[in-house]
Amino acid sequence: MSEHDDAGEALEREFEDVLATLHAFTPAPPPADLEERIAMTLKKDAAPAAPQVVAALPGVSLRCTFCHDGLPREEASFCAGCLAPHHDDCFGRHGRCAAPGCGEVRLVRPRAADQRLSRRRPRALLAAASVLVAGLVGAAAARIAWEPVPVAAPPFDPVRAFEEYKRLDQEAMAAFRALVMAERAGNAPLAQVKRAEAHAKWTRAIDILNRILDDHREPHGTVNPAYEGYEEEMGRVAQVLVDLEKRAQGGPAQERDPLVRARERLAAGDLAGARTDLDRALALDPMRVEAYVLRAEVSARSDDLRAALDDLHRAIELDPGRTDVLLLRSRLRFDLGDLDGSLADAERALVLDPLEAGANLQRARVRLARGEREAARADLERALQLAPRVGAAWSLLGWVRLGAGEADGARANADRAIDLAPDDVVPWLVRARASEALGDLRQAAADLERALMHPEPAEALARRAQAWLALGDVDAARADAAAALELDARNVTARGILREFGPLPR
Amino acid sequence: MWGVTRGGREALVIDPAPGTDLAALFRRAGPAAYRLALAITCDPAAAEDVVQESFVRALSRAPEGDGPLDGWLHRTARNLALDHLRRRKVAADRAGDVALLLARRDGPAPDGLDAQAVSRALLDLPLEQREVVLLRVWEGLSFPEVAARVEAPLGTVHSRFRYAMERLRAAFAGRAP
Repeated sequence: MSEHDDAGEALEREFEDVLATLHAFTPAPPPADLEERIAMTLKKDAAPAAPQVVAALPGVSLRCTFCHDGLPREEASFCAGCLAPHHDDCFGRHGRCAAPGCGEVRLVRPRAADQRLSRRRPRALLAAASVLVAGLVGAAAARIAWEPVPVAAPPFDPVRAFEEYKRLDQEAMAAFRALVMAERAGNAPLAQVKRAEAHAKWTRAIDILNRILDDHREPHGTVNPAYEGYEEEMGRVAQVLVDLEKRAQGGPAQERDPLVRARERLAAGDLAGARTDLDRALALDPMRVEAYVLRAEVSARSDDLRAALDDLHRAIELDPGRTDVLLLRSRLRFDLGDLDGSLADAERALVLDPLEAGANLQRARVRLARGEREAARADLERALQLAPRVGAAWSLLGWVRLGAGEADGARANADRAIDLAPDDVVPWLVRARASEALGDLRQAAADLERALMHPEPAEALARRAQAWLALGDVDAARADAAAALELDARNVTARGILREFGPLPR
Repeated sequence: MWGVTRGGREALVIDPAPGTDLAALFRRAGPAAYRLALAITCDPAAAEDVVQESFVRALSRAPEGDGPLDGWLHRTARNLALDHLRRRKVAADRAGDVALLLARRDGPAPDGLDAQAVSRALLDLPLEQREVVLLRVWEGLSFPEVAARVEAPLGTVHSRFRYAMERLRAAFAGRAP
């Protein structure tokens, strides 16, 4: 029976339009002759009518795939998936085949009759093997019959047990979230199923913690201090179970998923409302990564970059493999002037996904800010190989090439960036400077004017100032910020720029 | 026991599992393996090689029922495709191959988008997001099944799907991601 996934269903409702477009297309089928080619390859590799055999003649020892000790043939069992030899207890201790990439949990060995045959007639078998080597089709050969080997349960491993506990805790929390959604939707039967599922998983989780703690109790019954954290964890889960039972009795009122509501409020520009919802989401589930990421966005949009950074730290602690969050943190650190931290995050994202164009672009930004123009150029070129339609990468590449005296190339790159992202201020500035370098002052002036995109003149100048800063041209940024303040002394962006970088010298 | 010597060393020689029908297995799992390999490598020739190698490995396994074979096949195809990507130093220019990733079903194209535009938008997605979209949209796996396939938590799969959808929506609307 498939697991009911309310969050997934909600996602699909939210993106119905995109899915409708995707469903109008079908992925390309494999070439018509691929099956035939596979069949031919198999025929080529397999000896015709070759019998089923197992490596090693009688008396030739194997090695256990797990412990790598010598393993007499008569004592060997074999993985049912890849026939890798194992000691029985090694297979049991590991819980599965130790051959890389296998993971099979069943163990087999040849039936006793076949073993007796092999011990009695080695010469006959050797002779037959020679025949096979000679490639004669139809050589007489006996097929091996296999019998399963019972695998002993592995000894209790507290490290593995705790991993199992964490898995159960996460699944129980997912069931709990599904319960909340079902209650909101008025689906009482589903809510009951999810409540039971969450209860069962948390109950098993507590049993595991109990078992771990039992192994580490002092003679007088108290827990070894090194394991007190497990007791606290057990207390948390026990409380969750109590809350779950209260809920079943009509406890806290049903509520909509606060994360969903927060997204809606954020989209509508209600930052305060979104923050309230996200605080609530995190109170219900302190491990909800998406809530931290969204709350970071709320903080960033409220100009509280430090709070945004704290939330991104937490999100990454919970899910270190999230390249998108690493890149958000990299950009935030960049904005806060922490170039080392920004670079480290971009590089970490690249380690996780070398083909992530955004990570190459972000590293390029940081390298450019550090004056490493050639390295930045290499990153930008790599980003564009991976994702040729990212306007920001074309803009920055144009800027780097301008710095290297390649004004023609810079202008071409800026043209491309403008095609892709005409509402972005930066490529207009790049093209303006490139035109200036080529002596085309009229185009340069037109592009500088075009870069003033906002209908309100002071704000347009302030945004152009920010774009100059993104390119690293502080003087131009200060000039535009000062001009913005002459029109509107209260412009926050312009004031921030001059506060940070100071006014232009007279 | 039997042994076969090749060049002086014992070697493992195994029949294709009795009763394993290549045609049936290919019908069942071949197109999905090809789609996955293509989505990862973005290279039709490489995808063909990956599928071929995956099937040869799958059908050279120990003789058991083909119960776990489909999942094993998928994992193998995925790993081989990722290996191919890692070996490739420079990503190939995919412009010429883009149109081969998708074909339009019968009927008018939504919003005037053609296969090339949609394929390009998919190629611009990070690999992990592209894979989730393929498995959910075209392979029809549920999100929990996708999570099991890509060996990531369900929440992570949801996030990847969300980001992919947002990027695709922006791309289809003509804005750069």
